[in-house]
Amino acid sequence: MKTHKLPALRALPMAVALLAVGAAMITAQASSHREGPFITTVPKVDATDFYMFKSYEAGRSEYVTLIANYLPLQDPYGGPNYFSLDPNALYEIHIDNNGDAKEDLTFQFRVRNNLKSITLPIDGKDVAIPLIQAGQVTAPNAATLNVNEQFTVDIVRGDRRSGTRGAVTKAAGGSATFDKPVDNIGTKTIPDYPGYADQHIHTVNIPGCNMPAKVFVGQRKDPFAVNLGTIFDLVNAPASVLLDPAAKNAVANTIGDKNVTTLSLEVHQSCLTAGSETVIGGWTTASLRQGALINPNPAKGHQTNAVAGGTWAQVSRLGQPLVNEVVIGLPDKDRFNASKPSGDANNFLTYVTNPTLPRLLEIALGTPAGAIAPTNSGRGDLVTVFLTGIAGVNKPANVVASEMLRLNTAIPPVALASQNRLGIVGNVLAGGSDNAGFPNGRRPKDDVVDIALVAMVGGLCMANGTTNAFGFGANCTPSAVPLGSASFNIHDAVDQAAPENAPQRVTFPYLSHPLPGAN
Amino acid sequence: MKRNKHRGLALAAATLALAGCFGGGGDDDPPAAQDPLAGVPESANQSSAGFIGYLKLLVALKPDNAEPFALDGFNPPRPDNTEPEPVF
Repeated sequence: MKTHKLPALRALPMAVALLAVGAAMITAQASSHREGPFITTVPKVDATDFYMFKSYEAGRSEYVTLIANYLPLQDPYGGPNYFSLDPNALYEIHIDNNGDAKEDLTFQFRVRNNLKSITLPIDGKDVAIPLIQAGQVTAPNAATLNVNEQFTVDIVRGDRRSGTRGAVTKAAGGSATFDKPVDNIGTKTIPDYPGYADQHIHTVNIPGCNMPAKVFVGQRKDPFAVNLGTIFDLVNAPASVLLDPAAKNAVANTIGDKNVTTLSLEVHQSCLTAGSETVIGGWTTASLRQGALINPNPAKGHQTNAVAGGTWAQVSRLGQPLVNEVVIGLPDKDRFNASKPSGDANNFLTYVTNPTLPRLLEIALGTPAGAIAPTNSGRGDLVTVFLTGIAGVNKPANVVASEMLRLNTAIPPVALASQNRLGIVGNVLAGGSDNAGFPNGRRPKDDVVDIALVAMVGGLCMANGTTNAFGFGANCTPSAVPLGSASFNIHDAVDQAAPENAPQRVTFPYLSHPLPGAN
Repeated sequence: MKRNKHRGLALAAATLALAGCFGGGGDDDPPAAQDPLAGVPESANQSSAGFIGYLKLLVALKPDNAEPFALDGFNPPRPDNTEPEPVF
């Protein structure tokens, strides 16, 4: 792996541009929470964030952790049904291990919400209770749990639909069905949620893989941190705070009181890579049955109104963060969510080569055209990051341009405390040795909002210098960046890497336990 | 009156489309006409193409003056190994 340390980037001036900060505030959005018109109508299949990184737990450096978060903005108190996943949905994590923009491995998650129909004898009659629990819950599938959520995981090799399918099974006992912990209802129902939830981390065998893996599906505190409300309110924040680089964590994370539901795997890298190619591409999708009829006389049971059938039709897609939020145009957001990476060059390339966001920022801030937007035609910097990977870092040898998260599994992980919050960009600036961060995969601590902002306003061209050091294009030079070195100073005033925002857990599944509905 | 006329036209169109979608024995043996609002045809139970073909007819009709039909015994196919049917 080669690293470029450009002397000009070592000591950046502290100059902060109003335009740059304004850009930060407008650009930063929830990573993929409710980003497309249709997906807002089906939150149970709304992918919020996707992470893929070398495991930084001690002794697990040969493993890759894959995390797909769904069902955004969960208020912990959202009873009595809380936030079970959709049994009529297919949740998937795809891996492309030869750069051809097509999945070679797919992990398919299917959930079941089993209603036990617990009854109580009331005046001589057994009557079904209205809640999902009938008492304290301390163990998987507790007798007091009225709805026991379970899931299965299949691995499909080849095409996600027509490939060869096999069931992931428990290492102990061989069962292909796994319990999912109930959401964190509160401390009276579940006095020790960490102890309870961790009983649902399953050691598993994957067909065709000779190393055991781990799987966990369950509620977590949303690991994404962002200054959301302020952004959507026309950047409603004091400039004195937003202009100060020292105030990169000046305000509270807007969604710091929300939970999400995670589907996660930790897989040995040898089971994900193919041949000599060490770079893997990953993305998550969710699909619904293509058709459904609403039964006017639903049967007794759990979620029985809809009778769904037909093949799986994809409605959510997420690889790199923020792409469908601030890169893809509104008319194409639903299309992007339904698309496959192999079609990206034909369907969405213009949004990358001719991004609207920098110009939108200029309009919003009332600045002249060209005050923010980099001038390198074709935006080779963005094409590289979004569609091919960076040569020498995470670009597959035979890459087909397509949007996905790319991870070079040959680059070693870095312990949580030493991770650079700005990933590769931050490492270049610091002259460090952490090349394991975004866009080389994505870790929970990586501040992808700030990284994306730096990229959007031309920070990558600053790094590319006049020698095309990163291969972003000969026209991607500092002279193409109106903001100059100030492009590195952008922040959204919420620091993803701050201890109160970044998950501090250093073991699988890495994300923090969910916030309780009541204490 | 106008509304009923429109519904009648829609049903006629749907019936024609249904005949085309669900096939049959050829020109000499056209399938029986079916009202998509009357119930789910057997063809929708038999294949994804049949199910989605039926739904395409159903979603083209948006009456505000009819009750939903029962789904007793309806169990559409749910294949995992094929791509979705085109809708338009």
